Amino acid sequence: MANTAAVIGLGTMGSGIAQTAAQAGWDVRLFDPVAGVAQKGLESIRKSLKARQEKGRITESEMVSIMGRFALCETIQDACKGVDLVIEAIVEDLNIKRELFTSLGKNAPENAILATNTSSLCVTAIAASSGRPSHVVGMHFFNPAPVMKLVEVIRGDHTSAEAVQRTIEIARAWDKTPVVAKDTPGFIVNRVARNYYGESLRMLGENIADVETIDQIMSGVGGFKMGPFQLMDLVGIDVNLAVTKSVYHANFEEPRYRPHPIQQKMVDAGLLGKKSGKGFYSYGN
Amino acid sequence: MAIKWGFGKREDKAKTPDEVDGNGAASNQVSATSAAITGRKRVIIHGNGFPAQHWVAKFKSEGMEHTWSAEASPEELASTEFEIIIETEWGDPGDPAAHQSPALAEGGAILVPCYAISPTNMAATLGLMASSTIGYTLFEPKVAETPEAPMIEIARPMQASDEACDKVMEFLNDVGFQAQIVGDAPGLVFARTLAMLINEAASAMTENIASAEDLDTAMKLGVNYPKGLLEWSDQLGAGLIVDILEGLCSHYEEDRYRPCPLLRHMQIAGKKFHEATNA
Repeated sequence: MANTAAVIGLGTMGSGIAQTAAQAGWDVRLFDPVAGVAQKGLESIRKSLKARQEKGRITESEMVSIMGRFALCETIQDACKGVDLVIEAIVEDLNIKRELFTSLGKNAPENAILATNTSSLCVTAIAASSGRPSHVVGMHFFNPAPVMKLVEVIRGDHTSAEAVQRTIEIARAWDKTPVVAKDTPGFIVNRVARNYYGESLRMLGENIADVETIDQIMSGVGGFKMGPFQLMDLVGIDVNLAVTKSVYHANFEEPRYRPHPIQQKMVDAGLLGKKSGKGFYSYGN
Repeated sequence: MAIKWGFGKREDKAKTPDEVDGNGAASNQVSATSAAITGRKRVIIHGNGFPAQHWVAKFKSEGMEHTWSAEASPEELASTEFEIIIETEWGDPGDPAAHQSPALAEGGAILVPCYAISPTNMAATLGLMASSTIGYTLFEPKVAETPEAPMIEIARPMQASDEACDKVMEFLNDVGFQAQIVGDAPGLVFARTLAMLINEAASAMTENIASAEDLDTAMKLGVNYPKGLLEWSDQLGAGLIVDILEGLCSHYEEDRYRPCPLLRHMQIAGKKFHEATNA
């Protein structure tokens, strides 16, 4: 009895989420409002599965069967047909998401869970435009979605307990570990992790230690897999700054979430980390 | 081997053990002078503060001679001049009478714990001995799954002499630590960062963001933290975390560092995140 999900928005996260669902045996309907993006997303899923197959993690026939579960859709209505769950990973813009959820509220099956992968916006606010806030949850995945086990399941203020429970079960069916969080800026991870970077930037700015020393100490003393500067370079200094600003402003400029001039300077100078070849560290050609 | 240990990028970094010896393991530097300090049992671990257990464990694992004040007789303490004094308690820096160090041999050095006080402020509590003082923080040395020597953070108070710096570096090499030299603020690098992370986790608990179990799971699985933050707080004790935060708060006089009231309550009531039932 295959379940069906719709994934709206086929960028990196959307593609990863779609792959996750298909790997778990779900049928997945794909839709992106921008022409050609869903196709590209599907292609990136194929590449990712191929890489797994080459590493011997899945067989050729498993790969074929997973790829067979996707359906490219031309419209939202088409994408929503017969689904148990819709999950969106479109642009992080509250108004655009609200418009989408109004549409989902009209087009998705009555009992479908409507999930948002938002990392920085208010789930309750998104839910309010859907016409059925009891069915709206946050389902926040981590990059790369097929690999990272955690899903933050976010209870909007009007989300029903049943919807939360169903979402937990879906996450588990997709081989993820769900945690349940209240609808607040940053949920759990993006809020609590802020000062791993924030304090490190302050220490750097005040010459308490340099980049390498701080990273070495976090690993060598603390046992962290990656130091804060290595992590910022990996994720993108711009991405980290954006999340920091989001949590900071959403909390009405709560001082302890304050971004640091060093990161702003680096972003302004195009030093974004690994993806730009240079960040706190330099990356080879 | 005079080491400047100033602020900013340090040219002396090349002299920390892991770079002198190219393969990064300070414990490979078994030197002839190893017996010079530790062999004569003129190292004392003084007091019963948080890091005492970690120092004792390290000395025992290396089979090195040492005195621990908790196990020594008053006669021995009174009659010995120690070459290296490792203080483990920090008490109230405002109370000059609070500190009673054992006797320091000429040319000796004192390591003082800087979890909650800056090295310069901590050194000042040693009065005339301030110039022999070097700040440190030590946590449980990582389980030796890797061949690298465990890491310790050290920092130079403004008052410290070059000789004290050299002495401490030599001592740490002998004991088998990788020393990371950092700057003059409470909590050095790791203690400060961890305290702020735990503070935020406690603040999230205050707001009922998630259950303690889910919060810890989220940090381990979402950003690969080696332990849950609440679990970590339970292991170290809320009191240590509050101390570090209070130290940062008064050092910087910034709200940013104020301890979450929940942590204070847990310290006072002797509660843990993973035992306590939610209110």
